Amino acid sequence: MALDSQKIQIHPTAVQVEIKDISLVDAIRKGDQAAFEQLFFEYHPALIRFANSITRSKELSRDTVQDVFLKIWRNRDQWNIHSSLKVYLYQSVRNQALNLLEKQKNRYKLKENLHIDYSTSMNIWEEGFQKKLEVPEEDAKRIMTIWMLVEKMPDRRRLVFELHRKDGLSYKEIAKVLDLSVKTVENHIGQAIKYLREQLGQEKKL
Amino acid sequence: MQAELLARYLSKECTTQEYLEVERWLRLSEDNVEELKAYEQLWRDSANLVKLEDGSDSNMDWSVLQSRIEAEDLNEEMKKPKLLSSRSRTAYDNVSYFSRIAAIITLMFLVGFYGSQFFEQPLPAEVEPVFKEISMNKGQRGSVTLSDGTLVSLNSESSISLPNTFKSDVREVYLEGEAFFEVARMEDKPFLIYVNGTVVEVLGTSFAVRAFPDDEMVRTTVVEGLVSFRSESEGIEEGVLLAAGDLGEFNLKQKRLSKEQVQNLAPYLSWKEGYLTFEKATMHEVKKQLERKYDIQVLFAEKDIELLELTAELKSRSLRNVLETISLSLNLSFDLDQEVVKFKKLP
Repeated sequence: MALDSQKIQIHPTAVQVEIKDISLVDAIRKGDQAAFEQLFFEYHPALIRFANSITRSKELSRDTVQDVFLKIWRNRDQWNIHSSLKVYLYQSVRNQALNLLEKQKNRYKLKENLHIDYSTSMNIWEEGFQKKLEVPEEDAKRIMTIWMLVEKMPDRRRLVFELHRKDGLSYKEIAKVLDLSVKTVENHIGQAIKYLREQLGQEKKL
Repeated sequence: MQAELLARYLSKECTTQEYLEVERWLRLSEDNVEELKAYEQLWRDSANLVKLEDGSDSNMDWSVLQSRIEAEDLNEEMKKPKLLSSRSRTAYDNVSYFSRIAAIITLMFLVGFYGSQFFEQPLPAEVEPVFKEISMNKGQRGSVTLSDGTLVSLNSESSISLPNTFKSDVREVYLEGEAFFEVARMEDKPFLIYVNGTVVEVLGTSFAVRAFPDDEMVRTTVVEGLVSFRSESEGIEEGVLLAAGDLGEFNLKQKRLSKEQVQNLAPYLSWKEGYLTFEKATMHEVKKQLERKYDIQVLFAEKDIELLELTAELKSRSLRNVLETISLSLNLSFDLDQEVVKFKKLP
């Protein structure tokens, strides 16, 4: 048991990251295009994924993230960040995704959309994921099972769990992004791992 | 054990007291240790999900975003009377008219690609060929789809001139700088590129051509298909035939054509994806490419730095990271001040 070596610690890189973010925001505010490009490529894949988990539509999530970056560049002179850059970006993506969803509400039935999207991602998953992850088949199967189970969680719980595991946001950051209390976030993550543990345990027995 | 507490423990968000509580719980039985192991496993596995997401759309989305920004800037400018704006000068402020056109064309292409074939309509036949030029400044990159479906990606400081409508028997364009072509196949209508005294003739293929004004060579790199490469004054039988993986070079001073097989095409094509790749390139060459891509000025504190050879794949989007990588691999240091970077040898 490797418990002794596992001490609680603050990530030493956390402070550096903050400083880097501040200078990036500063540069963009001054109209630095290269800094803007750096910001875009650094966060685009993660933000697309996050938007996708909210909208369940590839097109909508691309529009969402585009709009967020366009707005940043358009209003760069007055760009102000009150929390961290990461929180700001995720928050903006969530707000914009909900805006666009609201607009499209009459045209699409969300549930149907969800189903279609889910099955397409599954195909991609099964075809290429083992190669991409570069893990043994056994591990790949386990990861895939978790992924399928996460999809079955209630929306809010799924979002909380993904933001933590995929995006590496802290409880506090998730609370800010999703407009929840930290307590609620804790509860969701607890419930999520409990659910996963139960389901995975059952699989083993079968 | 409470799942919430375990989650806080796993995510290192628990207090010291809670940490000790988990430890105590673990000491109670071997089963608990096993249980924690199972949780740790699923905790790690769940973080592994992220690797699956493919960021390959980022490049595409970036060019769409740039087009939207440029189209917006153009709109703004047309709306307001000519006033000296007080806001800081940005790369977009001195974009030439033609690159704006290119950007809009790119956007139209993308819209067509994703949406419908809405924009496709027959062009009226023109008697007098009117030429238009599409050019990219330093620090810019762009692509344009021609009326025949050929896709041209233009590197920084490069331009292409072409008639509004192609002639009936031949498609002719003029290139300065560097471009990548994905030529639409038309057996009866060859595609000709005139570049710095040479001509590249194709039937349908993809390849890159490079001839910057300060280059001593015109270079053609073929990715797919077959290309004829020759001096402008010569016929097709005098030229060299280039196949996939071939690099053709025309030495402008000696007026000599040569051809060789290239193992790795990346150094000739990576600019298209937005990054630079070098294989045993002199710093003299690296300097030129950096200046082009980032619109900066590169200086060397010692003259002989320009003879150093660099082999590197500079995938980072940040100029500073790129400079750091170069410095590290050649044992140099650098100063970056505004738009000027100066490399120095390390003692």
